[in-house]
Amino acid sequence: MALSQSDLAAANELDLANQAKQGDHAAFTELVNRYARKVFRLARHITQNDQDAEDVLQETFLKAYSRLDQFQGNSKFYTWLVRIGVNEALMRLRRRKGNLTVSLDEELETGDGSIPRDIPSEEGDPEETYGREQLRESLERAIDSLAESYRAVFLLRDVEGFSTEETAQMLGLSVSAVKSRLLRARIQLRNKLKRRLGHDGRQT
Amino acid sequence: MGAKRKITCQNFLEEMSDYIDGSLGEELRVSIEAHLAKCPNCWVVFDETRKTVEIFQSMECKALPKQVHDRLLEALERNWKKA
Repeated sequence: MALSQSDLAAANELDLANQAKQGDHAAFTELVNRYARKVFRLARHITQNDQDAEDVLQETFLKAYSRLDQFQGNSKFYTWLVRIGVNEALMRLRRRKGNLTVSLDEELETGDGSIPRDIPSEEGDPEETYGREQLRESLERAIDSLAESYRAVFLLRDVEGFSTEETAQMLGLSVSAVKSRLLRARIQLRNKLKRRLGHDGRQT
Repeated sequence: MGAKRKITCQNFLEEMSDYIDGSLGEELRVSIEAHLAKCPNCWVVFDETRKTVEIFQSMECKALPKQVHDRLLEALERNWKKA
């Protein structure tokens, strides 16, 4: 039986996915409403392009719907969805690979535990108070400035909150590769944000 | 319990991410904390990195642009009509 509007809003994602499996489009639309913005953000950061991100977003939900029978409910629906989205985004990125600029810190990947050199902090007055929107935009820019190989790892681990193991699985990387890329991404972002964090480490 | 392993600044940086995530074993964690207690430079790096991670973890997700949302629903509708 189809769920009412208020039931939909209150339903957990597993119930919604099960309803959608039975052809309930409203249940699937509720999943779209819950997760589309996050899938879009992830796709935009990975592809660095709004049009590609929108294509990835559509492809992700179309594929998710057509493969709903493969969703077993062993993992969270969102995890399953993101796995589809990340694959789509990476595929699109690989197709575009020829046009990509090589990142400055890429060569540091070969180092054995060496720590990336300091990169200049973001321009701007450290005394400036940031509104929430400005803060979010500046965080988004900081993520975009990361090397491609660190970016997806950082997004999945720290922005989306997936575990190291889930991230490794989604990106086809070893657990140790995820850990070392995450460390480098975090240090780079800290360098970008440190003026805002203050010399004594206190958040300003 | 005393620190069993001598930790250098380089060792600390290598373990910092796992330390922030709380995923280090007890013995290494104690050694790291002993190092942090006596190395102000590493402490600042740790503290700023931890705060950086917290800022990103609590980062808001912008709403989907309305047109992007509408086009997504249209794509799904077209797909459902076909089926």
